[in-house]
Amino acid sequence: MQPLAWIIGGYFLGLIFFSFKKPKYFQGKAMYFLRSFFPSWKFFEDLGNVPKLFICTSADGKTFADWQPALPKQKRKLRSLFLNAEGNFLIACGSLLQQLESDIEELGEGREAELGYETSVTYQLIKRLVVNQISKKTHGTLYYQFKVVHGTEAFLVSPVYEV
Amino acid sequence: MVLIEQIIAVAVFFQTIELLQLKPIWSNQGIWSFDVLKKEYQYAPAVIRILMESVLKERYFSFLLILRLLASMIVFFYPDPAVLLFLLASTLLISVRWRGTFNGGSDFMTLIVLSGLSVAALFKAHADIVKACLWYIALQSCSSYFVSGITKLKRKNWRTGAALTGFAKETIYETSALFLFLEKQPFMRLLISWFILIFELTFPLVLIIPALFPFYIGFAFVFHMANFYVFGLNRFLFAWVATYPAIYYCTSFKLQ
Repeated sequence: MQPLAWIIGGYFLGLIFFSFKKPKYFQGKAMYFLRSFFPSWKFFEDLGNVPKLFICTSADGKTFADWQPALPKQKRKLRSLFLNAEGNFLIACGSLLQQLESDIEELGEGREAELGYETSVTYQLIKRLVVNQISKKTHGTLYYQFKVVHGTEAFLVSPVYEV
Repeated sequence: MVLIEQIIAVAVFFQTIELLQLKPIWSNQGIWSFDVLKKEYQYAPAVIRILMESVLKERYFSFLLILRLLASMIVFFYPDPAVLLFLLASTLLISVRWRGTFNGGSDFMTLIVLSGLSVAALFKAHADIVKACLWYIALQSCSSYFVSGITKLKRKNWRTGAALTGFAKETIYETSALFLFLEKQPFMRLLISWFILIFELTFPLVLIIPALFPFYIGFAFVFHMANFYVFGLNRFLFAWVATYPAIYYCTSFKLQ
């Protein structure tokens, strides 16, 4: 067998070895922001039960409507093969929810942790996302609440906020 | 090399138009407002904070995107190293603006292709460096299929075929008739699942058996089209197709 074929074979054997090692998550914000330089290629690892965002609204802060999915499903269009701004926006929202889940896991439980993630950038972005989605759908809403659900369990239920 | 440059230029062109269309969500009043995001830079050195403020704020970010759009058009016709480097830097800045990545894998692959092309363009007089850049792009592309295959193989729901319908329900799209059909066809699910697993796990063979290239690339194209249909991953198609000429080059390489 030629030497180059051995090198290629060795490289892919190395990939098998490293794929069984526990992933080392990026330490520090700088590395986190630059993670696109270190691709993992572990697609479809987390697919299945993805976190979902639900919202409920109220005009008086007392009577709330039923929980509604915040990110409605789209219709498929062939032209989105080239330009899929709305679809990629929804994918980015999905990543944001996964980020919140990982932030919450990192902080653990308790009120102190709650205060920690409520002031986090991820939480603030999700709050803005909720307001953005409410403003698209309803008028006259003064109060809202949101929850993030993974599978059947809500891992975050927000306090009631005023718009 | 020219073909890779042209395909990635097209990819970056469409990516940039999408980001410009999404301006309402990253403007000051939008969801990903820089006023919210800048809290994350508060502990960064002053130089970084100033740099981020001067590039990622709404007005400057719009300008960056317009320049990127123009640069992608220039690269299509005239792949100047400086313009390629600008595309690389702007792609990285966009990823940082989106807290690491906007569209996951497609951003990774766009960066890989642009870094390979930028280095190759800077050292185009050195044939060995140019070859190394092509190998870098080709190996990353093959690794992406291979690692993704290993990841799936480790999961029971992929080995039984259950994953196919499971995650298809969780996409951004309404459930399609195809998946309602697959839900009732466990054998078909199992077959498709193993076809994908074998395809991904054996993809690196194209590097040592050149005759496999047309089959694997043909199926890879269909695979990405399916991913677009199921998940809306349009950006992945262009980013990965840009790597295929590099794989072709490496398969034609004499294994001596």
